Amino acid sequence: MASKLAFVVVGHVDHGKSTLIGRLLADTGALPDGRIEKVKRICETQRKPFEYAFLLDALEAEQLQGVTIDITEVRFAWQDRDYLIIDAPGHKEFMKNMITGAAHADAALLVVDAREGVQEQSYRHAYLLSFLGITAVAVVVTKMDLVDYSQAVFEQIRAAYGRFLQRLRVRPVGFIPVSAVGGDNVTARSARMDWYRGPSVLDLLAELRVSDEARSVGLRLPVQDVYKFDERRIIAGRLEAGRVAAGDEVQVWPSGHRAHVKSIEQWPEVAEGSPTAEPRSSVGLTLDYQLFVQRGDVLADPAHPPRMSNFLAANVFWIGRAPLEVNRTYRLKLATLERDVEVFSITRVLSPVTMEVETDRAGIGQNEAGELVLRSVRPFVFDVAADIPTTGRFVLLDGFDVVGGGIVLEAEELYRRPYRHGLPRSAGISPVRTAVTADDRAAVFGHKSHVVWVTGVPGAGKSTIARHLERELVNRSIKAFVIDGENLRFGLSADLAFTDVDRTEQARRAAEVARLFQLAGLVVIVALVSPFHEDREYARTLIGEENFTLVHLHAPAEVLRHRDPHGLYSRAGRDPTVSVPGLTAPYEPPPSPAVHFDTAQDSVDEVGAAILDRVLKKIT
Amino acid sequence: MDSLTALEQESIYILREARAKIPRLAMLWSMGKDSTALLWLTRKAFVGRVPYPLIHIDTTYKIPEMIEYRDRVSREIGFELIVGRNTQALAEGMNHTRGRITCCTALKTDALRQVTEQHRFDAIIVGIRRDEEGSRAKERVFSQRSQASEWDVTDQPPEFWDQYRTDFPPGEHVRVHPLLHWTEIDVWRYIERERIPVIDLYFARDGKRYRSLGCAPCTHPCESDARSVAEIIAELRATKVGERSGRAQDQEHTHAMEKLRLKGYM
Repeated sequence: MASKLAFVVVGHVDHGKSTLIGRLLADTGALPDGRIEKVKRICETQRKPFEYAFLLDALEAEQLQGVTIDITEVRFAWQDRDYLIIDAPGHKEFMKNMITGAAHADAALLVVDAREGVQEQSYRHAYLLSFLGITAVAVVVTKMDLVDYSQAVFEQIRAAYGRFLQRLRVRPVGFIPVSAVGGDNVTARSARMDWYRGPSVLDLLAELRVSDEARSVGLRLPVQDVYKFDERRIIAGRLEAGRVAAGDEVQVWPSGHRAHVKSIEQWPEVAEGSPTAEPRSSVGLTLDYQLFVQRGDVLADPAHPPRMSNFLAANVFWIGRAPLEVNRTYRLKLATLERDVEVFSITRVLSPVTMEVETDRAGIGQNEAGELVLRSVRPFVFDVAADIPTTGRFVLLDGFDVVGGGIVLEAEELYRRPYRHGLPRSAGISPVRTAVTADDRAAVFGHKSHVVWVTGVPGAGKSTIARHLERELVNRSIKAFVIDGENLRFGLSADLAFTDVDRTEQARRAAEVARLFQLAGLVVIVALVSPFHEDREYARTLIGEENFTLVHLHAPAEVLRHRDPHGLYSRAGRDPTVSVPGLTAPYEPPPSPAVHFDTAQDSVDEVGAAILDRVLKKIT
Repeated sequence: MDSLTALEQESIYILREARAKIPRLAMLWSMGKDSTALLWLTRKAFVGRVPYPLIHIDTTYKIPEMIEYRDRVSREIGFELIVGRNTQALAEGMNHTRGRITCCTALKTDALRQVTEQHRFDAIIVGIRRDEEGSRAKERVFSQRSQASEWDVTDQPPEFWDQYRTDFPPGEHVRVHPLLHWTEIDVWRYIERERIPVIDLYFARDGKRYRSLGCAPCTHPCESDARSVAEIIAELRATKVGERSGRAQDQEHTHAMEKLRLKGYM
């Protein structure tokens, strides 16, 4: 048995959506006894001929005005498959109801009146389907009886609408000429339109298969809540992508902290083994390590970290009565994350009816769509919708009202970054587009770029290893460069001392410079004490997991004291103003993932060769 | 994921959203199959717990077995049970002979409003389904109510994907509908799959069974030989009789349920 198909019926007002559905229900025997009688009674009271539409339009106001106001759902079964029909209103005033109906459909029928042809809502609804991510779309040309079943009329609509749909990248699975009143091409093929050789509406629906979104790249578990009913701390959420089982390593974003899944908690308890949760299931799990986790955080597998940035580029469909405006603040809800966001810039505004694009607008009006950049004081965790749809879409609220929906787009390079200590102070800045891509640079240089971040206490051998590695790389015609913390303090960081705050700032500057050099196409080796875990993880996020390798060098205390760089260790005992990380100041050794070397045991050549081996794999 | 599991998982997600976002929350429990399935889903969502009180709106005209069942189950599972009665209307002798719509409004709608106000609940979880009747089909998962519990059906918020309207101005409150997308058969198939104990009134005795439960004077059993959940499912697959055909208040007026629900009926 094929899986259930939920489909929405959309189109311009009065184009016959409800009548088509009424006919489908009547012909498939889906209506309960009494329903048809009830509608007959209503029609008699209102002195109208029998209206199939009234089978659906249940509200008194709907029947008196003859328009669908809100969505209606009805079900029928046909040849061993269950169908759910969502009837959405075509009236422009009720656009938000149409969205509600369409948002959980697998497929859509776009209804066009043969006499009126393609109208305003025919365009807007098609745009919205594409926006909401519904790709299985069929066009039903209704009221063919009123145009004498004319093939010419049908072909004309097919050509005009087909061109429009193509621009939206919607490829209809069929165009069907129908008379719902006469039942032509609804359940069975019609003899009155023998020029049409395609399937009936029902036959076409029977062939539609729901595409599985399971092509996903990794685990996404947005945290809904944390339950502390007893001694367990159960993290609750829905798997928006991927799977999870006990023992899996996960990273909690935005902190980036790691832990392993200790258990999947269930009621009633399952007897056999430990369960694996599949995509879209609501789970409760515990971690082996007590991390601070709260609603809005995202658990991901370490191989596929989500995006993290203070900026978000998106395509927004606006339904608010008042227009969206640049510089205004709205509330954003993405999965379980909520943030106040400011509209930073509007890239372009699109009319979903004419497809006209305007590039210099300061607002987006009701029922318009636009590409924009949002920003938030604290970084967002999200995905690009093209990668993971469920964590790449959001709604915007003005006060308590939902005023728009959005889909996350791939942002420009400069927007793909988090800020730890506040947003840029400059107002009105926007990125300048680059024409040369990372691929272009890799082609010219003959290798990809990378950052090797070498951390360790003074005397661990960071500079020695970095210089050795740089030489080895250059000997292989690889463009490499060392950023040494020591050297930075003569110039870029001349204003910094050795306090904790300054060490953090030093790491931030090193990360920013390393990022620029890496974007320029180089292999960058950073030799920096960088004593704090958070600082190194910030560098990792800024530079990108795929471009970043963390190396931790260490040696026993007596070896460090013997090496005694700048006499630090011998002075530390006597002079309380000397700060030595690992001895008189904090040094947080990196937990995984990092490559660890003991430079007292392994020679420079050995350590260098091991790092070189890893780097070469990443850049070729 | 099969369609029943998909419905279950969606309902759990909705219950957890309600608990995470709404501080003062309660669930209506009528002892019927839908709210009993909802109680099961609650325990699944919260790993065995029932983290909010259950409300029973007692009109005092309920079928007697329902009250016995209520007290037994609440003892067995051990959750907080709030019984709400419109004591003033009852003292004044309210009953269905004064008009079914009048009686339903006083003993159910008004009683629910009184409990909501007394306990200052921000949201009530209700087990209604879209397939039950026309006006329920128009509902939202998170459905906003005015201070007077009224429903503005012509101006409802949009629900993009799974983003529900979980924030609302002070004074307004919300009905949460985790079973909105289920059908009557879905509920029975779920009861069968999970082996959820339900009240005996649903099973046929002497050729009759209750398909929908309510007050004794206004609820009539239907002709049936279905003595087990499996037989009920088989019966429902074949029937063309509406689920609420045994509920007299629905038949009072063409738009009776809509009118009741605009005032705050479940």
